[in-house]
Amino acid sequence: MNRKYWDIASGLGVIALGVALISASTHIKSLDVSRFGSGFFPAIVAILFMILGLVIFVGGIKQARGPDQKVEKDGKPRMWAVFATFVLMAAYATFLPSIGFLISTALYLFIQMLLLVPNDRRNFLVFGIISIVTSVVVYYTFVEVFQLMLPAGILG
Amino acid sequence: MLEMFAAGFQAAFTLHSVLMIVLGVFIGIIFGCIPGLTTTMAVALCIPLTFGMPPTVAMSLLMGLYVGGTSGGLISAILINIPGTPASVATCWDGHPLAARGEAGKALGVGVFYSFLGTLFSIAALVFIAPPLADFALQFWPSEYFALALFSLTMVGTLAGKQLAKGIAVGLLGMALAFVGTAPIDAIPRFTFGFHELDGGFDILPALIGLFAVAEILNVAEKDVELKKSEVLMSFKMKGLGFSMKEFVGQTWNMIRSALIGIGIGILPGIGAGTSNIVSYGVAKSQSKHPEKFGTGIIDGVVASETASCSTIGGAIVPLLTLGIPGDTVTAMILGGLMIHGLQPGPLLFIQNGPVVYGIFIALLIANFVMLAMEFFGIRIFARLLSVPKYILLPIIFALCAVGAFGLNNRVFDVWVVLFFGVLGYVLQKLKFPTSPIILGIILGPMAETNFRRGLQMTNGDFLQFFTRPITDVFLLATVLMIVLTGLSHIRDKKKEVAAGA
Repeated sequence: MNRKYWDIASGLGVIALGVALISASTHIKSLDVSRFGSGFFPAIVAILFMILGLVIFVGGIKQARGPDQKVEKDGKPRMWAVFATFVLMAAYATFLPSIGFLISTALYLFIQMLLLVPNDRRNFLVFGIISIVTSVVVYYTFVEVFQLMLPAGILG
Repeated sequence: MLEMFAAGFQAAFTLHSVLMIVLGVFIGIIFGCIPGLTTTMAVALCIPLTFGMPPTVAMSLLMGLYVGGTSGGLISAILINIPGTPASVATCWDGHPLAARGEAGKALGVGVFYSFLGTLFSIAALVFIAPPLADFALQFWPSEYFALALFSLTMVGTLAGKQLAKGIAVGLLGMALAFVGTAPIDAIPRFTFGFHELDGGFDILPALIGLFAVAEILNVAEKDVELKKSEVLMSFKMKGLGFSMKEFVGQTWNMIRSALIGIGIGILPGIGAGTSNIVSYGVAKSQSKHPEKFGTGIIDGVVASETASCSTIGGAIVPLLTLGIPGDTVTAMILGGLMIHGLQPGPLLFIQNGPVVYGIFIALLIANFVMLAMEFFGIRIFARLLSVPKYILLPIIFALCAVGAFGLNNRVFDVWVVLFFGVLGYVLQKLKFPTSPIILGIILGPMAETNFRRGLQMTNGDFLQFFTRPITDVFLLATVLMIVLTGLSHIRDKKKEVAAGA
């Protein structure tokens, strides 16, 4: 999508959020004696969302009538890298309880470094060592020195 | 007050505390000087370290981080012309030209020394303002807190800059996210989407870690920019403080003015060092006899920026301790840290936990001296850290984020919360929404709602009775005034833009 339509989309998004919030807030029961129960503040915020969404939407339309916006000067954003990073983080959170902190962190670090590094500086050995050492140092520092519980997983 | 100081001194001047201050300042400077890592992040990542510590020791570590981090940004600002944190943006403008001219030692010396002075001033202000303000705030009723929260929310306008509507929307989003969980007063669960883990609402810590650490990692993944080693100016010498007595005397007024700006902006809720250094630089330039020299590498600019950004520290702690309203993003994090240790900031903190409060004052003071020594003698070590590649640092930071989030309640659910807020922060940035107003919403929304409803209970549901309290009226009036002023200046800016475009 052309960048100049983004504000139209965000405006509509904010309005949608307001609509969702107001419909949800009318279902909140109240045990409070006053007229202003637990749904009152959410309803006010919802109304403000709708107003602001409209303002952003109208601003977006003005912008869309203008000239096309230039692509950012740093070149094309690497959306695949962002997405891959997110998937990797989610995988890390998923496997953390079952396989434990030490292994999942070392694996996460290794793969994440490979994902972020420019091709010409890829170094499996160095990344591998850093990943394992960091994972071990962090684990023992937190568990032994700072008395924090971390999932031990299959090693525990 | 003197005996309170003695108690605070006893609490904070133990070996354990001082060690934590040194550690804090060291980690703080590292996070401060490496662009992309911020003081807020440093505090977020170190809070889990404090879980097992006594409160004063924990606060000592956090104060060290705050002072080190706020000052540390000057190193990269001067040496590579990239501010290490938003607190040092204006330091680049004169600091780097100085360094490029071969006077990096002088620029660093001035920056470090005035960071120290700025912090010192602000600690003095904190010590004199906070206790009487806390005393005064003891008289506050829920209606006052409600009005104060409303007034503080208007700071969103200042944070939003040109994107006013988007900024307010983000502030509201913060409020909406804070609705999740058990409602105040009648304890009705709302917006939990069936997750019982959300019954207590989002914890502020994972939320902030996600917004300010994970979002940043996703940003770097997108950009793929690397800092080359050669860009760091390493050929500098530190000779004494780098400036003469005459130069010092010449900066007196500039320093005092910048410190006052920093303290004032610090006290205002939500806006902090990221704003004060730029405002102070602007004022110094417009008041100067030689404004044309600003930006070419004169120490006036470095003095204005560094004094103001560091004097924000003491200022921002004033509303945090006395009213429970954080003065900036770092203090928002520290608020989370205080609550983990069972300390509820507010006027009662001064009565119930006096030694902790005064311990914080003393810890700040010690941290300031540690920062001066560490930056002065260790500047080369920190400068070298600037060339550590991001692709190694950021994954490690995320692992630490996960540790912090997990350690909070010993559940993986909070790691997911971090991820959720990380993606949210990233998407907001992509759509050109300013992200910092969200914190104001998350913290002030519940404060406004709880006190509004508590106040109504006291008045049997009659809102008009709120107006019978003069302090409430003052805050409400200030709120209206602030909204009108923000609106007017926004319209004026738009007109200017149109005129410039035509």
